[in-house]
Amino acid sequence: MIRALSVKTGYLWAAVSCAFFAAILFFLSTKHLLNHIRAGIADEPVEFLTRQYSLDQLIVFFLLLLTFALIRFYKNRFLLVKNAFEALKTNEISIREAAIGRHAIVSTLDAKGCITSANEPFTSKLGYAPVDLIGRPILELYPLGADDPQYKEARASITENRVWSGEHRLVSKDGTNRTFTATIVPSTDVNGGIVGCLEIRSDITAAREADASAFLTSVLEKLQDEVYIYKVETLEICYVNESARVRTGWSKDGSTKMRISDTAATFDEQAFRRHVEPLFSGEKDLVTVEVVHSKGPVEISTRIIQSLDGLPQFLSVLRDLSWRKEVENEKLRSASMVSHELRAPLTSIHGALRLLHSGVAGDLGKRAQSIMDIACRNTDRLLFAINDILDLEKIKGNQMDFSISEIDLVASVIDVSELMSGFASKHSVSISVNYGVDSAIVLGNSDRIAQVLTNFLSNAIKFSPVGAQILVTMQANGDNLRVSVQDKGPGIPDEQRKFLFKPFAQLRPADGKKREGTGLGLAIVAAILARLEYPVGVNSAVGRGTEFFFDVPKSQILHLESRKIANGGM
Amino acid sequence: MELKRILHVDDDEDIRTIVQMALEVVGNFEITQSASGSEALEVAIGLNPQLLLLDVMMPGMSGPELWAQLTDQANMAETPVIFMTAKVEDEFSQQLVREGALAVISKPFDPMTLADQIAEIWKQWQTKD
Repeated sequence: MIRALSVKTGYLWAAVSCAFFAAILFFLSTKHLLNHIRAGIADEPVEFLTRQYSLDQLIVFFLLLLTFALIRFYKNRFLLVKNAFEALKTNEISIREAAIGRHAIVSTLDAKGCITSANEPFTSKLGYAPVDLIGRPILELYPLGADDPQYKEARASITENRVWSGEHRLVSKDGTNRTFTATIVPSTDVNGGIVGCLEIRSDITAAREADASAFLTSVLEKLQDEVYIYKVETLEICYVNESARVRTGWSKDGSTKMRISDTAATFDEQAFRRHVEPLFSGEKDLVTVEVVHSKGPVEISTRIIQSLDGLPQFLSVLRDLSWRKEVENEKLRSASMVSHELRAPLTSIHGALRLLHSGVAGDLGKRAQSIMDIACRNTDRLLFAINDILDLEKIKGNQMDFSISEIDLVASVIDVSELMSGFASKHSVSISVNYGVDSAIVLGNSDRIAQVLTNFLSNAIKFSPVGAQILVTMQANGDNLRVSVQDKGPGIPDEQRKFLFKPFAQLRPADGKKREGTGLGLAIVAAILARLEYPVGVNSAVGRGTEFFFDVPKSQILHLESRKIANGGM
Repeated sequence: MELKRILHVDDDEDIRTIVQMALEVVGNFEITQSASGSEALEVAIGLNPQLLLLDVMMPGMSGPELWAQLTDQANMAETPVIFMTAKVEDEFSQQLVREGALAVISKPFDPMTLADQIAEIWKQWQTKD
């Protein structure tokens, strides 16, 4: 500041000296002219240093001499002023840099918007080396590039020589966006042309993230679903949202003294640990279970998250399923009504065709009989399709009977195999039962198991070549009991396996031949086995055959007697 | 006792025709048919059927309602009943059986085996009693 003042004083001094010198010159020349006129002196030459000069020449010469002397006299002072100007300029830049350079993120751009300089905070905040930035168009750092609205706004301001202030985001080298408040000042040359701009920014990313985090917490807090965050090891609660606190009756502070097992009287910790096992084995990143809660059916989804201190925590979200169940029931009611409306006329069509086909109403000619075959076959297809759709809806809507009782699995397998032997004969194939066990009493539902086995066998029969034998096997598989149906059909190509259990998958077998079916059979099988908690699977090799199986888990087996010498037949 | 006289009630005329052929031509039963619950109540008393074969869903009086009326008014508490339905809910069928129905036959049925199916149900009921 003192230096700046002294520089200003130097300017003043120089100005005063120049004015004084100009005044003397003016005075002298005026005086000479006046005298010249008044005296009427003839312009006679005067001898000076051996030569003749006119008086005017002498006056001009004298004045030039005087000017030269004065310039010499004031030369040093002019230099001093010039230096002072330069010092001032340097000083101003250093002051500005000292003020903003240390704290703010500063960069300069040329007229084309390319970066010409970037200070250390700029490079460190965005993670670029100076060499990455210099010469690079700044628009490349905007998330939307040239389409970025903030970029467009700022450029328009600079073009019109206006300062732009606002908030915008730039992309750092690691690809993340950082948020800044920025002031962008245009730089002009002496003619007022835009030569670039100076950009001064402050990084407000952390503040914005904190705002966003506070917002998300408030959203989480007000979420209708119940949210629980708890420790993996001890199951101690770290956080529960408002919905969860309302249902459990816990206070905000009191909740952190509870464990997740306190949420329900029937909470089985061992079962819970088994349920979340796939999260640790990496098999799944989310496990879901539907349970009936004190307030109705709920779906609980659990995953592992990292806490702020890096420790793993469980995040469970409880979603009320009442409305979904209501929708499912409504759907089932609709499906049931549609089915009734379809089945009533189908009863008449099917009945009439069957009676005609059987000859009760008189003999049909050969041609009429073959047409009648087509009608009967397709009525059956329509009926199967309606029944399958309804079965699937019934399973989804919890309307199918899944009451669990002790069942003799060996007897069930034999019954179904016998029942299906007629269908097998029609296709010229046979069924053989391989008894790996003498007795197997398991927990299940005999009707549903029969439905599954019927489906497996029906597929195996349809896909088997004429004369082939289908093998039904029951045998221990580790701790479980495996029931499988093996055919020597064309096999299922690998790429089609994942669609096998999806409804209407319309798979094309390896031999390319289409078989009769609704496309829902295996979807029903999968839904039934999922409800019974029997894992289902398939082994298949193109050209060699397919094996469908389900495993009765150890927990559902009440009695199992393995056979020493396995075999049997039918 | 051999089953002979059956009262069949169904509002659908076509189904009545199919059932009649299935039970009279394919089977060897005497079948009387009614198109509604009220009509059935009128004929039931004089007919004294051995078995009631009732459709479940009928306009006006439903099959189960007719069954209750026949039991009360026509003194048919002892007459066995088989329902026929195109409804699909397992629970509904199970409920009818729990209430005393011999069986619930689902529609569409096979007219070529219906008579045998009914005869078998009848036989089992006779043996049980």
